Amino acid sequence: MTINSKSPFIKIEIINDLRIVYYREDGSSAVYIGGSRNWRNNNPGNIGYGNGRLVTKLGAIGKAGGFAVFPDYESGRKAILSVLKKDDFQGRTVSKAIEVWAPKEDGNNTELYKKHVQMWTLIDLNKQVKSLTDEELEKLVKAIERKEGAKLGKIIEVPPATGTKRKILDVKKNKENLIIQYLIEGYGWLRKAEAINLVEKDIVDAVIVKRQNGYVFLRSRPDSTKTNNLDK
Amino acid sequence: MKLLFIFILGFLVSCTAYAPQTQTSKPVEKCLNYEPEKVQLEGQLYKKSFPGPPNYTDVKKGDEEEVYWLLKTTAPFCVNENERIWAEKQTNLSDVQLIIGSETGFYKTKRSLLNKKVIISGTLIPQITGHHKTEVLIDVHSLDEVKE
Repeated sequence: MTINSKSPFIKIEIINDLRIVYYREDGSSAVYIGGSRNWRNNNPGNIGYGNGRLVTKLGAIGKAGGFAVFPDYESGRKAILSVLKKDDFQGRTVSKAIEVWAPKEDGNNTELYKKHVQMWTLIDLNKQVKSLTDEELEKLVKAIERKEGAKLGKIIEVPPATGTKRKILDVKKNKENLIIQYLIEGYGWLRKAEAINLVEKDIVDAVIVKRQNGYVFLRSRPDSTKTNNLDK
Repeated sequence: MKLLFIFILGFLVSCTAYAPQTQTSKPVEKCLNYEPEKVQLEGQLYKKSFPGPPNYTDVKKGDEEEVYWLLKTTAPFCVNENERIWAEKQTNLSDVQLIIGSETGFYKTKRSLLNKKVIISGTLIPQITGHHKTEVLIDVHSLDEVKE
């Protein structure tokens, strides 16, 4: 699941609900698009961010949608194991640990989580977590990971910027011929507000134009060609 | 005359020293402890829907709905830090998600208590996963109506 063998990701930037950019120390990055929250966050156990104290200990590098973001999928898996090794989880039965991880909901087939874990791990759910062997613990982690169900999305690798900013490659317009989306080099299609945000952060090479009527849009930097101005 | 003035002044000072402080002081938050200590919380029982997997953002956008029972406590409370379980101090809490064990059958037997004043005894657990919707949760041992 790790996307490449380059240096690890050290920080993130949230573009929108379905897009996170992971940055490496060398300036290169990877944009995680779509999929499920736990896939995008490299957090297969759906561990919440809380106040950040616990998850930072577990190696998290950020927060998205209230959940921890880990630098890679393996770190996220290890975090599940670390939580199960905490004193409070160690003192519970496997059954109770599952109940705490994913509390029983009102009106659902709530025993399904436990049934699946038992079926996939063959562990006696009445056993205490602290009495599980390393192999059994690993099976439990895999079962939680499987049950939480990461759905894959798309990853776009973006090389380090070499002094140049990202370019706007294309635009999408609505029926009124107003620009609603921009195709940004390395980021894919973004809503206008997201693209403007990247321009404000000096990541994208464009000019923010504000009309007197309040309409805001982006223009490419002036050159000799008028056709690429991106006017509405 | 001078003595009378000192007496009256002393009387007024002693009155103001007691009366205003008791009237303006805020209620002191009750500070509880995380598990294994057993605690009791009182308040209104209610149920609420939350967005669940895959994005935990919006049921209308395709996320599964997760419905849990919560307690809105009568008074705000706090929970002390617990290093052993990496749980930080939480203050000004008023909504607590209930962890209802399958063996209790409470979702069936206690449904009539929804939107009523109840008293819950159990143990407090810090928020860990995305299925946890409040900073602190209570693993419910008993759940009873408060007769007023």
